[in-house]
Amino acid sequence: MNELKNSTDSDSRVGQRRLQKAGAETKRAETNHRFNILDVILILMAIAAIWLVIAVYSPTRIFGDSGKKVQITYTVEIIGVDPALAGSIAVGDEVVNAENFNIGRVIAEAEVAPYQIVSYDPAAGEVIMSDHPDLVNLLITMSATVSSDDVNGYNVSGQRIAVGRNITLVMSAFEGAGQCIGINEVGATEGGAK
Amino acid sequence: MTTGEKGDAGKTLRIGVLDIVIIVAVIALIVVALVRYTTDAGWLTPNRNDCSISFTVSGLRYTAFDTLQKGETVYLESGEAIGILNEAGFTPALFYAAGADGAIIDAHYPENTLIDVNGVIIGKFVSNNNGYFTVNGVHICPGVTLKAHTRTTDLVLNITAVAPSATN
Repeated sequence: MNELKNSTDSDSRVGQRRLQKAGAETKRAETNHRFNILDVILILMAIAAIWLVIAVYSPTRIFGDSGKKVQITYTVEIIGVDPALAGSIAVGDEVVNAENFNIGRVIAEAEVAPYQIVSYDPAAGEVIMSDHPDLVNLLITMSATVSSDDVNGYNVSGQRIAVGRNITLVMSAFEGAGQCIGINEVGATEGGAK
Repeated sequence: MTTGEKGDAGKTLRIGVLDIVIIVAVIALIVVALVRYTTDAGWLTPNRNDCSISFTVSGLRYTAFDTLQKGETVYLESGEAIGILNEAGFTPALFYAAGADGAIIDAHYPENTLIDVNGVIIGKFVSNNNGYFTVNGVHICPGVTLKAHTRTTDLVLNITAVAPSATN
């Protein structure tokens, strides 16, 4: 009788152990797929590393001096065009660049300047400068609100505005490309943007 | 049952050696990258020497010269700073023409037209057997043409000389 009881107790304990083991395995399987604090830390670090790489290699800076907004006026000189084209440029015209991004608004009538040809006169032995009979230079002055920082200077819609830089101007009735020849920060104490 | 729960809770927070190694590596990577790109820490960059770069910029509009200022930082197109503008001067831009006898002669643009700018940039460059390089590996030597800019002016620099700086 005792032996039978002992045998039944033993079977029962074995069954319980099996059940416990099965339960532990199920829990272990569940914990294998659970996010813990370590996973969160690693993910955050991975995000930080990716953000850092983008920040370092991106042409536009993400941190540091991201640039303050300032109002500037700038002038682009378009060389050797038909003088009649000056009439196609109106004060208030919105200007976009070649990528169709807004880069300002025309604030003055286009100035017409002579298109000068420099050549050497061998007979006289001197350099002479003569105005082109048919073509002129157009000086177009625009105003824009730009971001300004120490490295990239003035930028509007991804277009750097700098003296000596070629800029394409597209307006409703005129399109041309020329070089920026002057920048003024509006309200600056000195004339030129330094 | 209580003991089992405690055991599971302990497992979720247990950190292995590999985890610590990964965390330390990632932290080190972030710190090094931050220090490297936000400071001028010499111990993270190759040995650099003070050098002066002489350059010319040809055919600049005369008004552009006024935008250049001594002490301004000069950057490459990539945004890498290469040094400080230390000297700048200009002469009327040069062009070539046929003289009375047909020989090619030097002529200069009239005043208030085009100028050739010459100047000196002082900077720190990596020096090795192959010459001088920026930290990012751009070769700086006579004959090289570099697209560069200051804050307000775009320049195409023709490097004419590179020499160890006297300010070293």
